[in-house]
Amino acid sequence: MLILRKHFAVHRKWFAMFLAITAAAVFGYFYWAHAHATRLPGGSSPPGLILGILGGAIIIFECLLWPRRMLRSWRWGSARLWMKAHIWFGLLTVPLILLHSGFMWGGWLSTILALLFAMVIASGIFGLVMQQFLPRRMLIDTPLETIYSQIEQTMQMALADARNLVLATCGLPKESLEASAHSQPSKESRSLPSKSSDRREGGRVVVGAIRQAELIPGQLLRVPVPQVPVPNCEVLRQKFNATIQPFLERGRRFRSPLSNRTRSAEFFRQLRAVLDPEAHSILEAIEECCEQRRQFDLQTRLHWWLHSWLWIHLPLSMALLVLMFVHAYVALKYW
Amino acid sequence: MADNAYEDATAQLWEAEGLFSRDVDGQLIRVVSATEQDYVKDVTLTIDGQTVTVKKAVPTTDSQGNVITDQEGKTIPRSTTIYDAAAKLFVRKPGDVNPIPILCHQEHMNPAGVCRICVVEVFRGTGDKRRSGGKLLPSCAHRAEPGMEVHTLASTDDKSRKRVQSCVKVLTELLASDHLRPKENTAPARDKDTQNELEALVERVGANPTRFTSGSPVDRGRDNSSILISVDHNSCILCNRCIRACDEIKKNFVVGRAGKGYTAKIAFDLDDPMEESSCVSCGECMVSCPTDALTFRRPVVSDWWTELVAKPEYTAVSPEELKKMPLFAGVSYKFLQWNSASVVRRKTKKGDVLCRQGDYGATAFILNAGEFGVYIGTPRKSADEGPVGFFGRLFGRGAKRADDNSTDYGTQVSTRTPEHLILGEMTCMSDVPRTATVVAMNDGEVLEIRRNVLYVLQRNPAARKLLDTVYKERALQDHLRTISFFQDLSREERHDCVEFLRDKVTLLRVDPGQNIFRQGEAVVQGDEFVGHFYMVRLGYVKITQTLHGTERVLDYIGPNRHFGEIALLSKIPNLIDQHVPESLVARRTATCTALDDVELVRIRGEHFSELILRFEKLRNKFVQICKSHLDQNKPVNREMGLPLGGFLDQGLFNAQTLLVMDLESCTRCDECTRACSDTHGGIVRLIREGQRIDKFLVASSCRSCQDPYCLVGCPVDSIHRKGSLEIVIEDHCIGCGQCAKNCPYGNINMHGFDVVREYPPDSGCQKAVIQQKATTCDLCRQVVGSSQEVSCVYSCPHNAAFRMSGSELLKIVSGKADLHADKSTRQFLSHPV
Repeated sequence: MLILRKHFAVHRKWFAMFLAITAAAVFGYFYWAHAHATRLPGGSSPPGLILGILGGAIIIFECLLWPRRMLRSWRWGSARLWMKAHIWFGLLTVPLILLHSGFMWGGWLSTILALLFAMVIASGIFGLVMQQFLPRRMLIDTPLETIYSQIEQTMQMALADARNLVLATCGLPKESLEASAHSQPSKESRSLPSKSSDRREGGRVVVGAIRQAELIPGQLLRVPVPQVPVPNCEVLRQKFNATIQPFLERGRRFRSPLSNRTRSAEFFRQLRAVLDPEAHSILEAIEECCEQRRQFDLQTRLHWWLHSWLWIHLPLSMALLVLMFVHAYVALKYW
Repeated sequence: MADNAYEDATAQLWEAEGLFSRDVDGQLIRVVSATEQDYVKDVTLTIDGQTVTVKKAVPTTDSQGNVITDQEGKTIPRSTTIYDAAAKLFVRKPGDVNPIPILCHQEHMNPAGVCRICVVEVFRGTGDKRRSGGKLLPSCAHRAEPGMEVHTLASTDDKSRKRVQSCVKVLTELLASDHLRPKENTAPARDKDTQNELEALVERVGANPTRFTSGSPVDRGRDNSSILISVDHNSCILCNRCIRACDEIKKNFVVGRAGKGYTAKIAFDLDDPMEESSCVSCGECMVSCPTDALTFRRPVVSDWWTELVAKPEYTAVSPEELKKMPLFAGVSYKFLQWNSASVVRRKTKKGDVLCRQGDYGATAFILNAGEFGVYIGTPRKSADEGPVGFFGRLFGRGAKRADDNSTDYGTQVSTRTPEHLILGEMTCMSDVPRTATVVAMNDGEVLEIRRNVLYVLQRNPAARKLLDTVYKERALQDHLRTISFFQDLSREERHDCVEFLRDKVTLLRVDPGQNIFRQGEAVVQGDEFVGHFYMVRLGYVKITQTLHGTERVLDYIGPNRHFGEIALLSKIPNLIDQHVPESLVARRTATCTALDDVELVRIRGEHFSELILRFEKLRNKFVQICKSHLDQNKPVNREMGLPLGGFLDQGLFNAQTLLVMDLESCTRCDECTRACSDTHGGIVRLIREGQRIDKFLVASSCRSCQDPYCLVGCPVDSIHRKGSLEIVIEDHCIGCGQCAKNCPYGNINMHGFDVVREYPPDSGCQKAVIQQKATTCDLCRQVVGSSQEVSCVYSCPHNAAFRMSGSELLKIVSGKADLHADKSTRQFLSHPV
């Protein structure tokens, strides 16, 4: 959730609440310490106990965000309200627990608890920071972004388009031609783009119909397809098989010059220099597919940074909750 | 055999003639297509002794009477037929009977001329030269020509009448002998009350249906595979009505013909069983079928009907009763049977409210008895007051609307009686909220009909003409009451203006993409005005200006706004002419194009000038408006970067509840999609993908368009607005996919639902079968109610999902409103409307 700059207006009241409670807690804590001539009251002191109970209650509340998100259809308050409460109450626990601890580690249990607490808070803040910057970066750097779970499927479609374009430009490979002279059509020849294919429009094939919503056209890239194979294009097939296709299939998992935008431009520039000008539009379409793959790779990385911290934050929070109850039990038993 | 394929010279000649034919004199002729010039040519002919004049050609229309245009936007001329001329002469109002019987033809279809039941005898020439063509001609397909003397079944000329009667009788007997089976042998769905047009024709012409019956009729079989429609090939007369219904009306192209001779029959796809074919079971073929060849298995029953007939003041209406009413005379009897649950009878008492101003509705009222007062007041608050939180519910907000039982309806503007035929049709026909409250003034009776019945009524030309007249009159009256530029006038001045305009306004309908006028067009030719002033009643108009070869979108205007005044005012000296470049005085300064189906109220140029000159306050107001527009439209003053072009191209102007994602805040966690799925039993109604505008993503989810395309043509009216803004698809959806096909934004999806049905049909076995049904976003109203926020917005933890109208989105994108600026902005944005 964005809290910086103009979005802070949404959080102003929460921030005021955070400051007010923190100030009240600090004032109450030190006032009590001053009144009872104690240096720093611990968790067993009345203010420490109150702050501990308050902090514990907040931690329990923070953990309720998980069931709230699981039971989405239940009307327990809007998710944004819960998230705002989660962020600001979560931050509020820092001064409360700090005051509760009396600025001391305590025994091994409380030390582990404090470390866990610190890690949970740190991972939460890390996630919050990621949310401030990465969505904007995604918006700017990955305009071709798609739904994360659909990346591979979308890429498979782009790969099929690219493969068809190469086949239309280069014709059937020699071995297929020889084989077809003696036997049934090969699998590859059967996959030649059909004239009746609905993706063909008057000798052009639509590649990457980006953000097309039914009848409302998005950004379309229409590529003229050669009606007969372009001469001297065998190098395109070789490069496609050796470099382009593996990159489109596996992305940055395949070490390739295409994963770098500058090197990719150079790769295609060299290829363009040796190819017939008639094939240049095909090359541009394939270059566009590679750009799409690069953006999807970047989207995958950004998506990982945006969401992977939850794998730390969630288990640690659960561990913190369990240890907090153990801590409360032990503290009350041996008080 | 000789190399020459032709056996004789006649055959060779026949082949050489190709498309040509010979007239009564044996002269070679050919049919020439109608042209646009024929629209203005009159053809006068005599039918059964009465003279009628028709236009030589008329524009081709679709089944609803809308004019079809080609790719260049031109109308397609169609020759006026003898049947059309007879309809004009004899069918003046719904219920009148055309003396020419038809079987393979229907007035909303293109003629096929395959049954020849509509034959007439035609004489040409006068005096000694008067003679018959010899052959009887099919009136449904034969063009009307000047001087024709046509004799039908009802002709006063005994010889001609008997000749036609004899021919029609024999044709009917031939058809009946093969296809009119005893009722016990026909399809199981055929009850004693079904109406077979062939059977009715046998009675009408006094034919003997068994005259040519052979001992062992050929069994062409039945197809009982579909759970909705039963096919009995033995009853099929191969009239092609089902094929034309499927191809021309619904554009599904599933039904065709298979076989030859006696085995010829209709076929689905490549003669597949209906259930296995690509048939969507829309029922159009079945309601078009004149015999028992295609019949429905069970009538459609909606929750609306079930709930209403349980109340004491409502009763069900049988199809026989409806068919006896003149208005329904042109409606297929099978349609009335199938959709008998789309009509209810309501007994009203004094003070009963039929409908309230401001509510959305999907029904119209046919007045049978009583008097009804029409009241105009302040529209009551919409049900869409926005979400009510926990505290709102605690303190009673979102409870029943306070004015639900209010008796303050406003001012009574008119009284309606059965003479006025219908009420509430405007909401059904134009998807706008009710414009008035209607209250019963004494005991009476109305038939409440749903949109699908009204839609089918409009297919009959006589009923359509009647409804159209009523609609236009009321639309104009309503518009005159609400003209925006009259607001500043005093009560008396406003009254004077309305009275001045009362008979000087015309309602125009403009198709999407059609130019209303173009930049540079003159508004006067000589002393005559050729340009006019327009007010938008429904829809949106795009205003563009071309400067140095580049077209810019200046603005788009919607309901209650007006255009066309600058050119008209610039003609009047000393008003705004000094602000307009000399070359553009009395000329259009911009091009206006309809963005969707637009209804315009037109004031002719001369009347507008008169109005302006007569009323000073109005003149000053218009001068001010024009100066402001001219100033705004100067290139140096125009805001740059306003994404109006993209906004209009994406159809966002029409949207009322866009699901908009702020991509700077959205973490792509897909909580919105999951919440939608969880709320609707696992069937998601949004896709977090779609068009982008600025930093916003307009997700694929129902936009609740102001003019929803999806509502048009649902055969069972399962999709409609239910009192408020959201589009609701009810459970009696038959899964034909018409709404999904209509939605230009792809926001309606078809899903397979398990339903327990008797399957195979008539087997007595119950089985779970998958039936397709349409689903769309209903703003969660059916699940969580109208006082709660939509699930997708409610479950977004990052404050990134919003519901807003297209105009609100435009304001934010163009910097006139801030998404996060203040609470009031956020509130209206987060609310469903």
